[in-house]
Amino acid sequence: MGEEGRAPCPVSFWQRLNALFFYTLSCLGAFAFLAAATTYFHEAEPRVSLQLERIMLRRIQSAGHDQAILSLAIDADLRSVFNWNVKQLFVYVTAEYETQANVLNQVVVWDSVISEPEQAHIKSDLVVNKYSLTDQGFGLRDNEVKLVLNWNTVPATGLLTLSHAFDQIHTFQVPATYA
Amino acid sequence: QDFKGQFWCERFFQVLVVLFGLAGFAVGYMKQDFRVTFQFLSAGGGISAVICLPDWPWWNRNPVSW
Repeated sequence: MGEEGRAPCPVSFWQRLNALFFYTLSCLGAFAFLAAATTYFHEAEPRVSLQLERIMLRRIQSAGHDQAILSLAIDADLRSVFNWNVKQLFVYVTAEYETQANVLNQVVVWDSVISEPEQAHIKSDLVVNKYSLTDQGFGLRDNEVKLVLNWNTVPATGLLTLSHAFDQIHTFQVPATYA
Repeated sequence: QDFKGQFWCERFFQVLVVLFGLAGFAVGYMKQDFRVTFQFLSAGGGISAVICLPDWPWWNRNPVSW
């Protein structure tokens, strides 16, 4: 508070700085909450097209499992998912299939982080899987596999949500012979 | 030692920051970019800091006599 009787102001510089800083911070929090509220009813209309271009199925005898290498054609327009409360999207493709061992196998075969709305139109005819499609056993051969595009929406404020394009999936049959 | 000046100083920056925040909220909503809102708020805070933090004479017009 300065020296007694000499303080030019009853509230010191640092007290005022503290008050101003945390008041501004509270306002930022309030506005961030309001911004999240304005996007609560935001409706996205993503257009997703997944296509299997090539597949190579291998039998890994030593480790005891099937492994497939895929190349995909992805044409996904997620630009409408973006709004002012979306910081980035984490987009990933899962291969989903049923085996005797498991009712549902979900394997992530490709993913990508999208930080700008302009990049949210993913269009490529040759996307080789980042992570190979590996089964627990020998359940891939001649099996039916669904490719699903999923994305996490990372907001500036609010809940991290997960969406699936279950209505725009691609189904294919794994070859019956090993390559 | 100016209690009135102190009161008006606080009231001034409170109103200023909220006004900047509201403007930033509107512009940010139109541009669909929350970063704009943040920048407006920071500007409001910065301007308030210059006006309210130092011992400017206009906050000391009603000195307490004792």
